[in-house]
Amino acid sequence: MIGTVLCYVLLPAARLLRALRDAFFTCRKNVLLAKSVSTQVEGIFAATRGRSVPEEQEALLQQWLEEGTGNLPTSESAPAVGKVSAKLASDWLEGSELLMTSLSDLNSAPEVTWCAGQQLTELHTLSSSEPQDHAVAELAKLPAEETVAVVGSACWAAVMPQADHQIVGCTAIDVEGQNEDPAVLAWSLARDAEIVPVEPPAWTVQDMEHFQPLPTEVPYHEILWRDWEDLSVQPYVLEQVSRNMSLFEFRVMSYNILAQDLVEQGLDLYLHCHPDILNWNYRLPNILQEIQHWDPDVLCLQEVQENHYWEQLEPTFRMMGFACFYKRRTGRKTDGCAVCYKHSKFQLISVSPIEYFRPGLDILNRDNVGLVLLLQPLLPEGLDLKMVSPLCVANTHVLYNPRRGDVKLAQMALLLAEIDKIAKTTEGSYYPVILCGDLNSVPDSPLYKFIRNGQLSYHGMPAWKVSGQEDFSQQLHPRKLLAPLWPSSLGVTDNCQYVSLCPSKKLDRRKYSRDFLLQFHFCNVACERPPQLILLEGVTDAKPDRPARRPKHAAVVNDPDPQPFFPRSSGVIQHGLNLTSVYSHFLPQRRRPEVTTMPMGLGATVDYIFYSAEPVENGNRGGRRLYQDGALKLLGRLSLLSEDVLLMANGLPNPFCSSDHLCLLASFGLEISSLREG
Amino acid sequence: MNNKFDALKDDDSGDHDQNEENNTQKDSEKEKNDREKPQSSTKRKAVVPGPAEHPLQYNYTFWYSRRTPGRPTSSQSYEQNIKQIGTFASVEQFWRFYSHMVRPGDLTGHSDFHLFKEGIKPMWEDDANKNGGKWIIRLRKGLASRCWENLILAMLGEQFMVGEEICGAVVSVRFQEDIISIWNKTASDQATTARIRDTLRRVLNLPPNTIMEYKTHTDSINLPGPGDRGSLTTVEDRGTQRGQLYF
Repeated sequence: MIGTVLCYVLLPAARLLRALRDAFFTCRKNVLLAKSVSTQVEGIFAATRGRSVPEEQEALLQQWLEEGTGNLPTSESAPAVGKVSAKLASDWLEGSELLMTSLSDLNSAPEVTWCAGQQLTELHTLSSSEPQDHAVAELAKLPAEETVAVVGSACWAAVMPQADHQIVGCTAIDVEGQNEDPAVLAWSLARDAEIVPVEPPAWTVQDMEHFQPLPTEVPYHEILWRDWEDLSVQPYVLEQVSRNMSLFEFRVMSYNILAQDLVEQGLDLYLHCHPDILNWNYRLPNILQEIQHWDPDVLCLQEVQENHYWEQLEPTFRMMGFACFYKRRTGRKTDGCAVCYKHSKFQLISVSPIEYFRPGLDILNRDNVGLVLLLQPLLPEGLDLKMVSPLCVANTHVLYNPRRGDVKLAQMALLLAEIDKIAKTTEGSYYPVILCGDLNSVPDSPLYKFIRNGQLSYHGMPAWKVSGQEDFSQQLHPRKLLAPLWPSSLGVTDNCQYVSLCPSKKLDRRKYSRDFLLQFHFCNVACERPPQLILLEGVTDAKPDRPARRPKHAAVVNDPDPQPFFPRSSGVIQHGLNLTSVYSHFLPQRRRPEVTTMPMGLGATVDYIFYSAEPVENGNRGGRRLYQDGALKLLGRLSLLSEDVLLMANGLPNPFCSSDHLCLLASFGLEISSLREG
Repeated sequence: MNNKFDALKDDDSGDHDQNEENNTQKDSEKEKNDREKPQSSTKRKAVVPGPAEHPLQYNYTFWYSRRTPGRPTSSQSYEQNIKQIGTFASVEQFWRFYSHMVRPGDLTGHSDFHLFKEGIKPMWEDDANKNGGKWIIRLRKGLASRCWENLILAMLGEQFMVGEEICGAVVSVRFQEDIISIWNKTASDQATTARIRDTLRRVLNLPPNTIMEYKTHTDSINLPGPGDRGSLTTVEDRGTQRGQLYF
């Protein structure tokens, strides 16, 4: 297969270029930082919106033309690769293709879409009317100067098409009808964000001046550098490639973006931060850039504030090609979870929001939520959709309170029950599942083990132990978990399945424990003599000897177990999803634990991407189940950082990372079966 | 079945208890009717769980038998000696009978309580029993009441997990010892009998060295033993028949 060959040839090149692009990203971020600390933010903003914008833009366009052409030889096989991009979903290569398309549009094809046409006109006008800007001149010299410079521009060229794409989209929904710079328009929805307009166009001007960070600056981008771990070179994946098995590749990001309301409610948690970097207007563009940079196909966000979602995030994501779904927390909470997917890659089958709050249930008295989507991966034309399995994506943010492990477990059980419902095939197995979220529980905590091992014996466990979190409250918390963890009225079994979806009654007998039966011993009915009972002296003439201490009517009778068909007193909860974690929670090279968040300066992993795998036969090492990849293969992940590293960057959030959590990013491949029927 | 649980999907509905009770009752009635067909000539009113009661997997019938002293028992006289006490369909109805029956430890003479699924007579000849057998545990005096209660609660609560295999249970009050036994349908099914044995150990909290004896009903016919109806010998005669360990 020529695609495979091309992949082998181009993969290293693509990786190199991606690395270079990463370098670009951090550089640009650094510039941002330099700016953010300067006092001229307003000035920049004004300038960007003012007269200088067209100049910058024109410079940018000129540069595109030059750089793009200059890059052509490097990427000349890109379109071919793009055609087989189900195999090699390198966004860089796609980007190149896009770039070339837009270039050819510019030169030869005026009959493009309305948006592109308008763009074209603007381009021509700009390029013909204005003389070249100094930035362009400067850039034009670059390729001849140094390799570093060339590298920089190459990266830039690789990234730009995304921006271009976005501009087009944005022009189409230009509600205000202002004849502004498209790049500014792209961010116009975040107009109040002063930093926002500092997009590539601005960068092209500023960058050359501030390429090196000021010596006094913390080199965040170096400290916080995160490697992309390519796991596709592992033997089992290569084996499958050699077996000519095609994979549907996609990237999943899970990111707790820290709701602004929560920042403001808990400012004492962020005393280590300069107030400016806690400003939403500072954080939003940072977060958006990070997401745009890593370019996930599925995006699971937590702590998404509702107004920010509708006013800024959703419109922006929509322009980035995402379809978005949002579930706000219940009660008065203003944040929630969002799941977005690229509609070029997936098609929605179903979406289920889940509210964990259940009135009257102490164990589910918190306002957390989850969101479960079933997505159909879209294959390149000519391939039947049935050749690839639907994918279930679940996202949640579990209760934080370290003392209420009982609530966390019950919330998790509800989510798992929903996943069970959504992801179950007609044959009773499961579609591949990806479970993302901030679970507010650390690795190898009981809650974590429950998810990963599919089973937890909780009876008698202190509630604070469930999550393994540090508890900063120093309170006494005597609450213990007792079986059954949640009442049967919830309609969820101990196997984390909805009772309504369980196998028929024939299989599930009316099983009662001794204790359950005993509590009816002296119920009112039992104390009345059956009228049909014949009186045999010394045999059936006993009187119910209700113990004095017992209340006349057993309280239980008025509160009966409404689902007695499912044994509920085992003290064990289970699920059958076979989930394993993308991350190993340990950084072997640094010999330190991975960290996804830094509450009070203490690093911990509480964010996860779990995915469906196949349990290894007899694979159980020290109570920890072993898994191997099944139809869903983990191809790569963005490495996390360790606590010491994050401390060097002043913890989280910091000027570079604008949430108190790091984002998680994983690349997956889903088997495209040509033989097996969907 | 589906309708029954649909109400649960709406976790806020809260009125599903009612639905469930209604449906359960219906189900039970249906099962009951099915089961009672062979003997429907008696035209007895079917026993069903009352509203808001906890239905059992099966309906059960309490029986009581007492050997008239001095007269040998034959199959026929056995059937005459055994009396139905009553049939119940729910947890509450069970306790209603149980609470008005004396505890086995307080029975006098040579008597037995039997608790069998409705429709199965506590006799070897019954179709459900003819290929079956029973586990026998001998108890020293003073233990029968507690063990009997635990045994029947396990049976009513479906703790044995052997499908339809359980037929019933018996407690036999004798002169020097008491005997409890549980009957199942298929004596040759070793997986089942082993499972019943293990469950017995668990629910009766038997020490590991307790002797438990499995006896097929055919053996009982040919070699009657203690607690078998029709036995001509008394337990006093055969007290040393096998090594006994009381607990």
